[in-house]
Amino acid sequence: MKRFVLYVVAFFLPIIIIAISSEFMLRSIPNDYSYKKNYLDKNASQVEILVLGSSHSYYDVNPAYFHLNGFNAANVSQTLSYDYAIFEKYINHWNNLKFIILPIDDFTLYSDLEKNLESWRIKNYEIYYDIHLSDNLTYKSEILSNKLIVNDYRVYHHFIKHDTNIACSILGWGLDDTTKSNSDLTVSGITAAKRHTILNDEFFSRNVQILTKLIKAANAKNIRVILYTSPAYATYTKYASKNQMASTIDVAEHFSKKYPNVNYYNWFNDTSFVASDFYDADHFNEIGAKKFSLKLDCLIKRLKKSSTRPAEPGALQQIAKRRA
Amino acid sequence: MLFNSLNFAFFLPIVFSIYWLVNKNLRIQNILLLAASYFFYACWDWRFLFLLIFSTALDYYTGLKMNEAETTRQRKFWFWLSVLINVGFLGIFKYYNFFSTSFAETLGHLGFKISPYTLKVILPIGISFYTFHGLSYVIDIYKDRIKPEKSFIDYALFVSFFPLLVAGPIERATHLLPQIKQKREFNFDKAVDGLRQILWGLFKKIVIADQCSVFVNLVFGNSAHYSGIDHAIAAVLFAFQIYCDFSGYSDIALGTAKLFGIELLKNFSYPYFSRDIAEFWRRWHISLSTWFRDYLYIPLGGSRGTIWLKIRNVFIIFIVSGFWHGANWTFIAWGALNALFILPSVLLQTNRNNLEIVAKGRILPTLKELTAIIATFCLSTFAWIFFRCNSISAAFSYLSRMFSASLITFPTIYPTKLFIFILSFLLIEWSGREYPYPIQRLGLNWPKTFRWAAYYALVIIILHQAGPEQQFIYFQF
Repeated sequence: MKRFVLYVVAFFLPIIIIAISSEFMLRSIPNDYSYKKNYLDKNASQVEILVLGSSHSYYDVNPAYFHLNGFNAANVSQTLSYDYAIFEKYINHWNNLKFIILPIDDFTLYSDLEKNLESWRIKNYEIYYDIHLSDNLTYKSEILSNKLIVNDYRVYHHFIKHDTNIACSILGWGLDDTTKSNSDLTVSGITAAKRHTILNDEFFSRNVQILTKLIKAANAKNIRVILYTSPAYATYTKYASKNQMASTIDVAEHFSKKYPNVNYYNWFNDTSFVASDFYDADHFNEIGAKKFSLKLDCLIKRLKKSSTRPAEPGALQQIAKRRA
Repeated sequence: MLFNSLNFAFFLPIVFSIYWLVNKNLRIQNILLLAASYFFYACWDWRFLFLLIFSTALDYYTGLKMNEAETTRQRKFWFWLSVLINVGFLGIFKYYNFFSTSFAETLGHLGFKISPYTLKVILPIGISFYTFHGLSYVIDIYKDRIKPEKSFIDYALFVSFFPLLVAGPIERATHLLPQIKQKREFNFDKAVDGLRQILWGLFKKIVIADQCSVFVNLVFGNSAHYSGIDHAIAAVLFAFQIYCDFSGYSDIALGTAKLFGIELLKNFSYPYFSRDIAEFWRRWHISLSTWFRDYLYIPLGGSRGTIWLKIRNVFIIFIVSGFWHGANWTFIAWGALNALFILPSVLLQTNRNNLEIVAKGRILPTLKELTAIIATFCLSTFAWIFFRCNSISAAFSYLSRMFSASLITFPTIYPTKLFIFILSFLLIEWSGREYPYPIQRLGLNWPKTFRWAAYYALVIIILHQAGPEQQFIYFQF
């Protein structure tokens, strides 16, 4: 028995040492999440417009075009629970925050990061953002969350080739896809719409609750929440789930009626955006992002001047009835 | 808790360490293993733990009662009580919705429209496996092949031993219970052998099966977008996926059991080197095939009797075996196809021609053997299409696409790296085909440095070339 234990320890010790060293090396590589956390740690009190959400806002909204201090805290596949967690983390630091911009798309209310293919991204919040929403041990570690081949690639590019692993601009806008050449809009539209069509709605109620919490917390701090449905190319809008879209619009419209600090805009079929604005069927390229960010900035200017509207009671019950 | 998960990597060393620390007391060792097994099972869904305990208690109690029975009538009563409740649970959880909807569909075809009442329950994991454990135990007692086990702990451990609990191998009381009752001494060679088998199982599951799953899911899920040759490649990849997934699981189970000084029944023996379908079925999911042989085929008369009886028995055993896998017509079709394939050899009495492993003592097979191996592989792969598709119509549409003109075109999927892995895997399997698992003797005569280097290489390949994590296919059964 003693001999066996010694052999096992001798065999696994190098593997464990390499694994621990790799974990430290990977954690030392700066990335979007660590950058955004550091930025918010230092500048949250200066931020006037906070962009949250998934890749749709990460790539589509460039705060450099805002007339106020903006920061894009969105990330690829970021779901509402993490949007709320980021907002809540700095709740006592939003001294100047006036607007939250949050996309509410066909999949927003139907997604949960822990239950989708991108769940490995949870480790970024656990390790770099200090946001702990998952009990899964795998996501507490870099080496366990990603395949070895991916980790090797990151180590090689950072330590050997000295490439940066940060894929966003100073203000958090996603650069890696927006600056690449465009992908096929037909293929990307069909595949993205299919990927975003979730066959069950187990997360719907929970996401509506999270959104409510976010809106109420924002309201308490006199922050206006701009909900919008992202513009998409025709190949995406054609294949996107009609039911998911309808329920999502219902909820967003309800919130804009119920809460005086919420405005909702549906730009899903906005024809002012053309093929040359898109990197793929549901993300803008650099040109599209500029156009869209300027459009948002105009809206913010208008909203700053406009007054609030009263809530309409009973609308949530009507939605629940329709869904049932 | 998956065998290839982080949780299991913590669970196994903890249980192993405590188990051998208390090795002076067999009873405590068995209690520990049982508690660990129940914990392992509860990690999936603790609610079904009660079902497992109830099923165990039922078979334990009816076993004792059958032994105490003074009349044949009483003995029959306890036997049928156990069988009916066991099969009843299986029927409710696994087959009720299938029968209910099939009945409604049949009535619908006859012009009577009814909406079937279906149960919204999930299938308790491992129910098919532990039900068959229990059934074999009560049948053996009823047939006076064994005496009932008096210790509930020992019997419960026989049913619930965690390496075999959720996907087999389906053990027999005559094989496992004596090992549970016997004092177990730690054996270095056996434990190292267990680790080696676990390593091989992980390679099969994580590198081959999980990588195959990517392409298989792509083609089977979007059949209309792919050509005939892509369909053929995906079918072949599925044949390797299901083999490496299930035999990988079995290797991990057998290796884990060895760490605790227990030998489980062998479940696979190089099935894709079979020269006919009869040999394939002697080498594929052996614990299930022998279960059906002993408790269904032989009681029905086996290969004795008239031609019609032989045909009937072959179809019954294969259709039931197919149906055991799942409540879907596709599994029944898969079973029926295999019955069709094996029937000629049963009728011509050539089904026991190939009992030994192919090319025993030789390096290469003869051309005839190679042709027979390829033909058998093609037949089993053809049947796997029905097993993999969600419906019979989907299977036929898959086949029609596969056998279309686009079968002779350049494929759009050509996973070169995966093909290299599969080829290397086949070479290793071929070189080790005379042993229980192929790397059992690999490098045993090499210097330790070389042998360890080979193990490290395998670990690196597993970590580096892992496919997307997939649940073991047989967990759904």
